[in-house]
Amino acid sequence: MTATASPASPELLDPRSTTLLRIATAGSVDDGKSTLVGRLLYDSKAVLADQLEAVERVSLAKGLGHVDLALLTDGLRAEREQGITIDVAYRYFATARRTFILADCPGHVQYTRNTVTGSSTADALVLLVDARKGVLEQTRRHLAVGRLLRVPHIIVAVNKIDLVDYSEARFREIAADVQRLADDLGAESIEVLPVSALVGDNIVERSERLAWYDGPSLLELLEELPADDVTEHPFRFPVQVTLRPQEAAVDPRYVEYRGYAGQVASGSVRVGDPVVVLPSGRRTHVVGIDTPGGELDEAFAPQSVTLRLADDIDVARGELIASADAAPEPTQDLDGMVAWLAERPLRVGQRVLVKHTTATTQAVVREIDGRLDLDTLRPEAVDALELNDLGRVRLRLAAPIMAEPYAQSRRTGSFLLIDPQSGANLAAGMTRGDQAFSDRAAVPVGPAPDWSI
Amino acid sequence: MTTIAPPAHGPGRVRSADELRALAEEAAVRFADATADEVLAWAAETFGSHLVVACSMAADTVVPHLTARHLPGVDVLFLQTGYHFPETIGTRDALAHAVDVRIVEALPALTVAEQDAEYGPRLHERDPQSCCAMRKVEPINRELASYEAWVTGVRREDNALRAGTGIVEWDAAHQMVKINPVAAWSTDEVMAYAATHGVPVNLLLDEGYPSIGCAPCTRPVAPGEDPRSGRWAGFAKTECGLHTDQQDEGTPVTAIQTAPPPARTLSHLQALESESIHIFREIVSELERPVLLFSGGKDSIVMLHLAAKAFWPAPVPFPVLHVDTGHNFPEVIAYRDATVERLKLRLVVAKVQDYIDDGRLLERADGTRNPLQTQPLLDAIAEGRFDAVFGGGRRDEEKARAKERVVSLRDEFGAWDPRNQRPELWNLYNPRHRPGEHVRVFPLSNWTELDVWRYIAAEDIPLPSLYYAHERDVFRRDGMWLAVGDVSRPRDGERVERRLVRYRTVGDMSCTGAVESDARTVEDVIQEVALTRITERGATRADDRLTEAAMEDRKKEGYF
Repeated sequence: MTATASPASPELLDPRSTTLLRIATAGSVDDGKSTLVGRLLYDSKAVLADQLEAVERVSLAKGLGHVDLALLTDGLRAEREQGITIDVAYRYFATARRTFILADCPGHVQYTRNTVTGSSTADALVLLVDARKGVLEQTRRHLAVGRLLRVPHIIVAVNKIDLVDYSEARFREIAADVQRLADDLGAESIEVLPVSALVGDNIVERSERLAWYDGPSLLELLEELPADDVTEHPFRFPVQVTLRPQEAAVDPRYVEYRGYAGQVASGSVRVGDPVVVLPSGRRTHVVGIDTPGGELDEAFAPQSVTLRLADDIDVARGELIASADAAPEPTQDLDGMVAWLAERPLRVGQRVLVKHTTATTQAVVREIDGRLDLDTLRPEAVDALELNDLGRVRLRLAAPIMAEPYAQSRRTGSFLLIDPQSGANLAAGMTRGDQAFSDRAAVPVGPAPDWSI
Repeated sequence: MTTIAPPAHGPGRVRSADELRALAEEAAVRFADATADEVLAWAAETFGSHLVVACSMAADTVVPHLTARHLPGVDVLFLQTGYHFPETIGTRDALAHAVDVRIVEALPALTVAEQDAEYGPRLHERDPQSCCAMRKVEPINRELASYEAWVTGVRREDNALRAGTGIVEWDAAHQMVKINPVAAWSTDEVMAYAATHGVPVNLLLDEGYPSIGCAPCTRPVAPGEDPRSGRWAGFAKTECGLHTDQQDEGTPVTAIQTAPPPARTLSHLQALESESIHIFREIVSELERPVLLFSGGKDSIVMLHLAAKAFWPAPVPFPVLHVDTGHNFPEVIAYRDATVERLKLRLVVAKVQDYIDDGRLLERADGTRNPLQTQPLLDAIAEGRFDAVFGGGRRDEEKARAKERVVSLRDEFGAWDPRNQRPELWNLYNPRHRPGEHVRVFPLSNWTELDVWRYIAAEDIPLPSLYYAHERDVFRRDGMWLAVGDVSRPRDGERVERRLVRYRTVGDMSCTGAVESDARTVEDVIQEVALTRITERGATRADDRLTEAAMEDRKKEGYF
């Protein structure tokens, strides 16, 4: 027989057929997250024979009766020896319809740092709950972080459903708890589904043992989630680098070339569109959208392109090219929620660097309004932010930036605080919606939880 | 509105599905390597008027001509979608005059005007799948049901999806025999046949349309692109469904209805490309003296290609560094030098051999030099005062790499501390560091081996020839095929054989293994990689196989 069908799905061979979805996973210790990730990789056939053999060998050496799929993802020696996961790890798998980048976030120590890191780029957060234990404090914390970071989709996988005899009643109970918590947090898109990572129920294939469940399997759900469409927002283009090749141009035709290279942060732009360059406020319009493959009529987020502008104006790295009729206000006052990621606490008066899009500027900490108690989800007044605290801070900047509310745009609403000496990342920041800011006094922390962004 | 589909043109079926299937399976074996004439002679005799030729009036007009030599007056099925280019209609008319065939038109149930009235104008822009279903798939299914066997112009060269096409196949979707007499022909052979026999071909072929469908959904493609990539450009679709298995082998479709992808959506490869370009531009803007590690291996080639795109039309704004083990494949060094010349790059070479010659490094007992690269690399970084070093590492390569950051801080000793990495948030890369430290930057972090190959195909990037199947003298060691060369000689008991092989990675020739493969083109390789069951490093790098933690140890010491 010569005419056998190819076992590779046809879409795999078509580079234009699949879209990208970034996922983060989080969970508590022992809820089987590594097993779940191993199962997703294994069942979607992203695990290759030699990797599996290594895992089988180690499972046998440890005296386990089954192949421990968690070993697929525990990459570092310390982790393998201690049986824990200590840092965010990135995994890759694909189906016929989507390519996935999975940020596997460890749940115990440094959970805030890890979950914030993974959630910052995620289109979907998959949170694990042990069916025997139900919703724990850790679940609340992870859900709060996912909500704070505005991950567009949150999925709660109720794992180890086999250990509660596939009980529908138990699942419904947990799902109701999750829903209450989601309502508290104002989380909109939340999905709850039963799975058993160890056995493989409802991860890739739906399971007969879960006949009462008529929703999609985890992978089906991930394949179907709509991608966050940032092309609907107003056009924002932080300039990364000015391209002026002069005599060094790859072709003599481009000796006079001047273009502004960057990645579209949100929205789209067409040749001829009026734009404003910020913070200077100069107005001009786009005369060309260039890529090495040829000129485009339109560019949209998140394409990397080079723009040419009509007037002979100088635009430098850190400036923003924005839609002329919906431009942000430059500001030197930044009010945001930060996740503090450094050992040394943050105090009022401290000097830091702020990196926002492609701009980096000096700043001083004016106020610390308080930290968010993740257990009660209430703010509390504090003098300093400690490692893994989430708090609200106000900064005065040396130069204006074009920060927008994070809730509207993750790309132009996020910022880093950097240690000017060591260069280390101190905090992940998200700009709050209301920029009203009294120069004098700290806003007292009221009884109503106002930690949202 | 009730519509009645026009009646089909064929004489109807006499044989049962089981009989047809048995015929197809027997013929598939018998004609596996047959010429077009051999298989068509059999088809004409076996099926007679129950045979039909499907023709799109592109270059496949040679197929009606070939068939008519054995079966004059054979039915030639043309899909009259109502959206054809004038050139296509002209080709149909010319064929009807030039060749002894009967053109039968498969008509959709609705005319274009009726379809516009019912579904709104330009359905193909909003939902090409539905448009194809109504204008192509349903009419041809209806027509084919009235014949027992069909002849097509499908060729293995069309695209990777069609690479496995047999001369005779059982068409399960249509429950009939499918004959692909020119499956093994190249485009040049098709054009030569047409010229020799005066067969009219579509004039659009000369204008950059290698694959021709309906006018609104077909555009020309650039040289080297998949010929069918010009079909339904902008949509995740290259097949209308006529020639693909109707059963979806993917995951089951859920209750949730998928909306068609929004027009402004990047494919995953485009998203990865944009991310990598963004990384290059950030690092070059924030640091003073970057350098790119360039070995002539495929990952470093793709990385350099992306760097050239990131700064075009300006030149690549940094030099490239090659840590030369002295154990090189000559093809790779030739490629390296040609690329440096073409892009006018400055090349810095750090030679392991120099270190061995003056005693700073000792040759290892096993002869492998990959682990000896660390010291020359670190010295070259210090001497060049490089503050950022771009590497082609990917997180899918190995478990320790999965935890590496895109921008990874290294101390004065070049060492990586996996427990104290900077959290990497959003797309805000932070390459700041203290004097004496530097950062390693991995723009391909989120790419997989398959992505790299798909990108090489999509961008038509040339590679050193050893990445494709070729014959080579090899011997077996540690379960790998090693090439016979100056630095890799077979030991006692290791027999030299000539085998068809290719390389998945290139490194120190003495310990980089080849894999047996007949993948001669980039499409073949993509197919192979998609089916591969062993990781690149597991298959071909002896030095990574020593211990479970081999890679982690080397990274901590400053290796890439």
